Amino acid sequence: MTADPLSYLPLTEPTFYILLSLAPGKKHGYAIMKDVRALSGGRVRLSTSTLYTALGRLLDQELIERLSEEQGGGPGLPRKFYALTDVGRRVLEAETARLQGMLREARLRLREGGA
Amino acid sequence: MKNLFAWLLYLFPQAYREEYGEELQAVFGLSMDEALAKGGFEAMGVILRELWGLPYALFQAHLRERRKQNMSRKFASRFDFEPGSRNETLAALTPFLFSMVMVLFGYLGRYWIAPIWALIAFVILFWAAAFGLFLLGSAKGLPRWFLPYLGVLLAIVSLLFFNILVDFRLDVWWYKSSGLAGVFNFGNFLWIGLLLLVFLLLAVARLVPKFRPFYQRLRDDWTLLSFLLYGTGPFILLLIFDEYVNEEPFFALSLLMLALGGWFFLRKDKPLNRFMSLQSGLALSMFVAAMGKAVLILWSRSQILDFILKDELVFTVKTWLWLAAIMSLPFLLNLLPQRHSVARH
Repeated sequence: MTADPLSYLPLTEPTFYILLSLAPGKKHGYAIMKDVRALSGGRVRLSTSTLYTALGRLLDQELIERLSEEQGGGPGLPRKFYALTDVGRRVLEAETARLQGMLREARLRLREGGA
Repeated sequence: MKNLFAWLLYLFPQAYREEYGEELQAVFGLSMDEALAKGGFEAMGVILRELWGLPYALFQAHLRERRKQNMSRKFASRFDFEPGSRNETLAALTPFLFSMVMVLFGYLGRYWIAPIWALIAFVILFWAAAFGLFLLGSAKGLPRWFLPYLGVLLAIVSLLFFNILVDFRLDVWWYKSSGLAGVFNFGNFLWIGLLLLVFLLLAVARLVPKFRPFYQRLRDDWTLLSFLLYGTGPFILLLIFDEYVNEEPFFALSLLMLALGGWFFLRKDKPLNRFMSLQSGLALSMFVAAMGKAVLILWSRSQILDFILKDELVFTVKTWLWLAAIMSLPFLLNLLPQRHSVARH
């Protein structure tokens, strides 16, 4: 798997939010699902199967890792956790920088147009 | 609803279910619980979202499993053709079918004007495939399907050996010095060369540790060596039809008979049945060749018809008997003391 973060860009919106959700720390599937919805302001609502399809792909790409069963998941909560890998974090940072660049350019142009 | 979701999970690949099934059910259960607490519309939204996302998720899950299976199989192992498999059969019969296609291609090429690039591409493709399979078989430790390729190679080397003898005028020496000329006339040096090469091959396989498993396979199943010699068939047919005109349909049919014999050989379990498959294929092939030559000679209305016909048919029958006899010799391997098998197929 290539370690060049730029080769993964651009990320899709759900992928970006899933990685972003894991940026503070590991989470189980249900927590990711809720976090993605919150981060996107309710726009991105992942179904269970869509979420796990995305998680599977990110695992294959080694952008996230699946942690073994742990205590403390809580009653009824999945006992598997997902966390960003180093590559995943660099990809997220690269995508954020890309979006920042786009945003900066967009603001600049809009300001020029409005002046 | 949770039960229905659990049932739907059976649509996913088994490995995927085992890996994620429990989590998927847990997350869906929690989503439903939360949605139901908010009301029926929210719950309906969750269900519709699941149903909407399901086909894509199923497709991706199956695709992922397939990709993982392909990746887990070593690249090289894809070319380990199982005995009796379609791939093995195709690879083993390629020397016969390849020759047949090339013969027919040359024949049809006279009447069918194809673009030159198509002709070149076709020839390159076929030769590349045959050469690729030859290299593959060599790299794979001379498996069963590769033996006819070795047969073709041995026949070519044997002919070179024959030509060298002619170049050095040893044919003259042979006729002058040998009282056995009637039995082993010079033309039969081709066969003697072939026999010598087979003995050389056996000796190398016996003495060189790398080829010892190959030698052991030949000892375990003497018909393999017969199959190797059967591989000389296409080349021998080329000699039989040498200098004929419009021989291609008969040539191709003879090759098809050889392929048929090979096909039965690969499918039979008992050594005797395998051996008889080869002998039947050879006999049919030679019969077609003899008939073909007779038709072509009669068609040509030659002035010396009788002489040519008789001579050519005798040559074909002699060729058949030589090859049939040589193909029977590997049975003698059985008479050698057998050691315990150290490496099977």
